[in-house]
Amino acid sequence: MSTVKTDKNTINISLKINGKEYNINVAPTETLLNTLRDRLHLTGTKYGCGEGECGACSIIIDGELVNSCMILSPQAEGKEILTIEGYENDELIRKIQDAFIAKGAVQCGYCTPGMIMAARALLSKNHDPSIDEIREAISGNLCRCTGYVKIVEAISSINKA
Amino acid sequence: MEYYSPKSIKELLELIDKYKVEAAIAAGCTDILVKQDFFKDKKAIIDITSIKELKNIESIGDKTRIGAGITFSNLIQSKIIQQQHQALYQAAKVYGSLQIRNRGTIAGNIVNASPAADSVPPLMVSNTKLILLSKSGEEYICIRDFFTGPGKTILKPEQIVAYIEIEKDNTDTISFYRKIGTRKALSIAKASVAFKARKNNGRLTDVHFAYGSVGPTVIYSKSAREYLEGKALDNKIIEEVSLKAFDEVAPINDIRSTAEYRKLVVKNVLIEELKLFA
Amino acid sequence: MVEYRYLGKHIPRVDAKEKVTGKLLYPSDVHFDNQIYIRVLRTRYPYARILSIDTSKAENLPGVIKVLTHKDVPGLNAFGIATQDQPVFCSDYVRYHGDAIAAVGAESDEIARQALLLIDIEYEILEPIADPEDALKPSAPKLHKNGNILNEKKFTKGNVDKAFDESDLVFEHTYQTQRQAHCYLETEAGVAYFDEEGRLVVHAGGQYPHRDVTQISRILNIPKEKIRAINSPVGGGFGGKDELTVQQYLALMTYITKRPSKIILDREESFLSGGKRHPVKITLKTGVNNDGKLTGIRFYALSDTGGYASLGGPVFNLTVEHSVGVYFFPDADISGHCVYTNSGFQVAFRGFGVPQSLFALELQMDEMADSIGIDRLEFRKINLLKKGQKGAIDNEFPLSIGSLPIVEEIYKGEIYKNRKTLTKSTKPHLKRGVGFALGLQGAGLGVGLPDFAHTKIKLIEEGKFKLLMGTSEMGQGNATCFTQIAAEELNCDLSDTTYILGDSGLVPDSGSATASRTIYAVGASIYFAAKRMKEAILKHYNGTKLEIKSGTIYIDGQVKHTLSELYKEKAFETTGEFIVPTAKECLGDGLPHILYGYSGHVILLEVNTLTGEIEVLKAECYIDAGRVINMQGLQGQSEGGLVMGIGYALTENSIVKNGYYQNPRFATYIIPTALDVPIDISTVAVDVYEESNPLGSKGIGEVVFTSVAPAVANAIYDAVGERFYSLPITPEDILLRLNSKSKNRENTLCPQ
Repeated sequence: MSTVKTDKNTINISLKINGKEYNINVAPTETLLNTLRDRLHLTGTKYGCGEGECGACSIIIDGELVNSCMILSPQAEGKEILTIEGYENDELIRKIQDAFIAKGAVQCGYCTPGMIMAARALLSKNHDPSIDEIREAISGNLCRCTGYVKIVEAISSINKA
Repeated sequence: MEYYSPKSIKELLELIDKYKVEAAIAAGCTDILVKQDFFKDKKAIIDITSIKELKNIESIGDKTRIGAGITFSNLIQSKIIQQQHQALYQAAKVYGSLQIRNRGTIAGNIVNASPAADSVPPLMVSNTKLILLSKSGEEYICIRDFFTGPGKTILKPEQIVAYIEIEKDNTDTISFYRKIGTRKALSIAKASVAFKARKNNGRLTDVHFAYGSVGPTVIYSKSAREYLEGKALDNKIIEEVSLKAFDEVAPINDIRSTAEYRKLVVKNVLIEELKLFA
Repeated sequence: MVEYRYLGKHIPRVDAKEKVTGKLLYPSDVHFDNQIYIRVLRTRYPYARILSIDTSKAENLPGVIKVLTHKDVPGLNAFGIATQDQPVFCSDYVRYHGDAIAAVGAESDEIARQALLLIDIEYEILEPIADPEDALKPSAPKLHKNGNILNEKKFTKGNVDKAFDESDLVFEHTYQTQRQAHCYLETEAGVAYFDEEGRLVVHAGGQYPHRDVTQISRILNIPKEKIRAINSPVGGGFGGKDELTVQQYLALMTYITKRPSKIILDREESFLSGGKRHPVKITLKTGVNNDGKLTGIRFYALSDTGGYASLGGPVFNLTVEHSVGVYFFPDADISGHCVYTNSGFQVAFRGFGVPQSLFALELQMDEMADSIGIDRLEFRKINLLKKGQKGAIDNEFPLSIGSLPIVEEIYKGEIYKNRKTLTKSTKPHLKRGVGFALGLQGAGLGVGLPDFAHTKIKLIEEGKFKLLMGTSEMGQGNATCFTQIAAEELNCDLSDTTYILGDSGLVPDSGSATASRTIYAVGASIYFAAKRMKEAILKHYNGTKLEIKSGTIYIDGQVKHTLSELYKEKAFETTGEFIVPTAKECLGDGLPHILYGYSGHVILLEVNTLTGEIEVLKAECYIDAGRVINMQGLQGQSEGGLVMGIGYALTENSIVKNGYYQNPRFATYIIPTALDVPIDISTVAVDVYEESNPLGSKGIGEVVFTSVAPAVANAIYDAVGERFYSLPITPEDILLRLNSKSKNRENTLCPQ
């Protein structure tokens, strides 16, 4: 977590997040995770480690799954940023959410938004992934509660029947 | 702190020349944002991800030229890499996690100069040249001569690694990259081995081995490759070449593994993998 | 048989919607515009005397509002659930790598971090006590005023030396378990502020709000009524947030500055400062006769609590109590020490001292079975402790015992039945093996400790039953189970209920979310509250049968009112209480339990003998939950416990070298990813009914973990014929062992 309140040494950027434009001043070194959470209060994206090792802060930029802690906010200018808060306008995320609820893929829920973004990134490219493809697709997202089984089941159930 | 996002190599080289050691070159950021105090003595962040010239994978005769901005996911998705650079393709697939592969670049992996870098052993067995650019010109360097220690390279402050030029596999090429990691994903190598050779009438020529995480830099094999050159693989030869590998790696104990294990596993992985080609 | 609407069913979690949408605010997500950002100064030394603390430069940094040290603590400068020996801020000594010395409150996180660098501490560096054996030496420095022994236990039953003399075979080995980190995905975090009633609110990830209030009240020296603790939701706890983690800093900062404050620990800080699972060294001697009957056990455990006690004493009690596992030994000599060292700091963790004992015992059970030539499962079966027999510390087992039904189910399971074919491998260097282990876990706090659960149900204006429980929701799913229990009894739709959890200002004290007790105790309590609510409504209408559908009340089939209308007519509020039954005689704080949950784990895995790498291919989990409340929740706990157990068995190790943490990062502390665990995991809930609970249920949050590691270790032996007595069992251990064996055999470096 790092919030910079100082006015000196910031740059003005605009970010397009979930279809909405945000014009903000950030320090050049600020990560997108901090911008999302501390500046824009989009706290569905979670802080887990700040070094790309847990996936709790996963979001989608231009269709690709990334750790928001591993991107400098200015680097995200001009790109389409999708976070968990974008679910209302994203049918695929809503399907994944429903599957997570139905299959019991949520426990403490702290890894859940990142997991859902990983599932969204997978399913947008691969309509009917195999179990191993699903495991691979979420293997950058750590979960300490579920043992992953129900998460894999949930993702696997989407687009079936 | 200034922030720049140059659109061309020319612009980039001007900026690097201006800031030199005070420039923080940012691409995927998957290494630099993990380093505490990385920005401490920097005056400018130079984001190279908007430079289109650095985002190509081009086929040039018997070589492939990879731009510095190419990510590991780009490598995996590239038909050229899939078909003509098997060892590199295998390494790209086991690098980090999907999130890291989507951001991390091959040039970043090289300049970070970790002995555990997944892309480096496959590059070393493929006669790879790095094309270094600076305002004063370009320089070709063999990747085997690029690293001087953990985190250390011969790259000058006003230079960047702009392209990676790698020799293609031939129809008779056999190769592999095998990583023994801390786990199956989000994993750093405890040891890794890349191998490439040409196999004709059972005999191997143009043999190369490189080993990761078993020395201060990735190690390019001398004795194992010299031993195997011109020989045919059988159980005895495989045993012998694996012992050469055992002898030529120089690992240490660290938080991920032990020196003893690393030596053994390099040898055993060679046995396991080479038997598939026997 | 009664047909239930909700009990025993797959019911989706009541909190899932707000979790999948990212809308639920965890403690780390709460923000106040005028909040103070807190950062804590932690020592880099495992053991040192503090000569001076100079905060003046930090205080003068623009943007710094307050620097807290021990001088700012108005009340007791110490905390600890069982023993208050851990300073809020160290004043004289630091006792572990990560101990807190000061906290900065600043206008931004950046400034707070900078200010930490400006605090000057002068130390006299001392030689740390790194090893528990050294802590016991008379020459060792005393880390606390009562010395280095936190807990010492000795129990004897019969004459074990005589039993060994008369046994056909005697076995003895020393086992070592490691320090495991909880790795909840949400680090320790929270906020503090004053509410409308002027109470200091400390909202942080925790496991027992009412006890947080007690501890904060001692630290601030203000009455408990002035403090409110909110503990839910939590991004994972597993015991690691049972103790205070950040509440003390939040409370002090806001109490002193009168401004809201916020803290989130960095992952590395979480690894350094946070408690871990106790490493335990166990020397285990057991005797057996050729007929397969166990004769005697001598068990000595040396447990390392690190710099402070927290729950180290009670955790060690369970290590001792569970030393005989699920088996009957006629003679026993059980003893051990739990000592202070300068190696980290250990706290409660899922399993609470039990997994360490079971690791030792369940490995030795296999070895004994093999030596006398009896099937490993059969050997376990003939030695199971039965009702009427006494345990390790001469304790009784008057309540349900699930071990026999578990063994019977394992016989029927696919892995046991097909173990011969399943262990055939595809390549000579890939060896497969099957392993079993049985486990148990005392439920509740045990004898001598107050163990009760109060809950409340209110009919509210919106026309819903509001369930009020003190328990915190860390992901276990208890809110869903409580809702099911209440809705079943009230015969209403799940949507006719709502709930509040874990807010000491709003809910009654339900005890801690620990010790596998919430479903058993709090679930029972909410059942009684619901029962009373039902009776009150029936009495109001003078009816005999209640049904509520979408907020409409039917009495004996006739529509009466809506719940909103009933609310206007009369206030309905009921309470539920449940006191956990305990043994008559106390054998030490919390000892013994009388209620236990049981487990069995069966593992199929494959070892690559060229690399030592291990892949778990398939797992079966057998759980005695008493009567199951929510099958989906049970499976989720079981799968999660299994995977955490695989991590404990194979990769996880929080290494402390001469007092210094070596791997405080996710890059170096290796927990399993989705690719590292089997997807083929089955969970069987065996048919047991627990009479002491009105619902017949028991808790399972810990027992799903306790017997995993020994099952994995036994499967490794089954695969490669080598026993490994220390956790974790790594590829390094396996490859080096196989290599040295083959070297002896063939005088070559190459294993087969």
